[in-house]
Amino acid sequence: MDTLILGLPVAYYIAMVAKVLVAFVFVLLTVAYATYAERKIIGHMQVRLGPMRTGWHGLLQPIADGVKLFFKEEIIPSQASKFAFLIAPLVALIPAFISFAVIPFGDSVTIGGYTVPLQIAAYYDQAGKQVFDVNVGVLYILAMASLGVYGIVLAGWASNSKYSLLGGLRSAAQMISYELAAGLAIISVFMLSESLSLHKIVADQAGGAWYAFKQPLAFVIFFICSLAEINRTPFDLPEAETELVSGFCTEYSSMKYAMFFMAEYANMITVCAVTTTLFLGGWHGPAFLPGWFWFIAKVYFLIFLCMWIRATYPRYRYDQLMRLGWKVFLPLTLVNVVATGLWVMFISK
Amino acid sequence: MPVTAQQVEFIPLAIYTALAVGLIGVLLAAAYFLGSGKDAADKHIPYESGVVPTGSARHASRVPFYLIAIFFIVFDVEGSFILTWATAWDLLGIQGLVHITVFIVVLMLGLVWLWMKGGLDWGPSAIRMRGKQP
Repeated sequence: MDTLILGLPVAYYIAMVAKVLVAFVFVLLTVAYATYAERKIIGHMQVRLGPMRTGWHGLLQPIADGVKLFFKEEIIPSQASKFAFLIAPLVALIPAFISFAVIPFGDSVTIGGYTVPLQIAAYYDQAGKQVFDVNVGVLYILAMASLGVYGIVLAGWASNSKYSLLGGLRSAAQMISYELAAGLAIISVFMLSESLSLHKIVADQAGGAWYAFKQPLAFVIFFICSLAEINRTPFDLPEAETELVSGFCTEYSSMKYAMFFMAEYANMITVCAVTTTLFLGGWHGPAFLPGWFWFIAKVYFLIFLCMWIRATYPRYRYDQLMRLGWKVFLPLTLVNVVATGLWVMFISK
Repeated sequence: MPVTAQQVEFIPLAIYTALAVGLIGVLLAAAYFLGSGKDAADKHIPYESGVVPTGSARHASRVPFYLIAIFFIVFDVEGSFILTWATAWDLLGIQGLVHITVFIVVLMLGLVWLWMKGGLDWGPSAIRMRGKQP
């Protein structure tokens, strides 16, 4: 018990690995079952049943899809740039997964005498009774979101197919435009929290003082921009089937094709988790249920909202999309920063 | 050797990243070995809805995409300035707020200029815009 590695007991490392494993399996299962939930929910909204055949009410559908994809033929177009073609799904998927690492999905729990913060990249100081997490958590998420763009551009360019190229270009322009607006929208949150650490931002929202109420404009803009950034309907132009077949992933097959979809769903979960953390009070909720339950409930509600939006709205046209991002959201976010400054400086103090 | 909190918090991050990369590697390897199908020359032609493709897809991209990339870089750098200000703006007080307001106004003027020049327009409205300005 007294064996120390880098000044910490072995039990601490066991708890750490267990936490990482639980979080990873949670993300994977959510990714798998988000595809099922999406088909089921949209099915019911369109008065269909959705998947029904594999397992009870189609519950084994994601597993069946996965197994099928393993046995599919991998095709690499002869004119493609092989290395870039192979590396693109990895560049899209890995940032999508690891950006989840800084999100706090609960306050700390005590197991066997050790307090473990429910956040992957965090550390509980047993002596100081304080949680330390990555103090630039939000920057990390923004950086990972930017990396994801490379995967899609690379896929579009490397395929050497016209549909892919157009899809990739559109996607790049769309993602960077909305990333800008989303990044500026959350600045007003940092002005209230005065920190980029996600743990501290959530801790600040205790007792129902959610930033969604203090910053409703930033909340709405951030959520809409996030939908655009992860290419969800009504902003799914990169994959507009009617004009671009499947956009940047037209030439992909087998597991590499699946990876773009896993990346899309993983990004959706991350975006919903970030929105929950920044605006909806993270793990805070009525005390009769544990914090992680409230966190997951809020994230799942936002995921449901994404699917609801998909079933409701038609797709934007490209010039409308760019106009919304640059001419509406960008000026609004900039004005919001100044307005927040004036509000806090002169009225709320 | 005691470590600082900053160092410890990156260990789980590294484990998590290794897990994600490992899983993706396993998935790719499994798909490589399990994948079936017969190879044929036609399968390696880019898909263009059944039409035989003409020429390569290595076209030069259109100028508006390039412009968007430049605008993004300009505004993203400005955004990171505002971000650094926002984390400590309380300490800077009213003076800091005035400074950033001037900064944001200048930024907005840049945006208005782009707007008037038609740099943010796409499709039919952009063509109309360029028709007006010889």
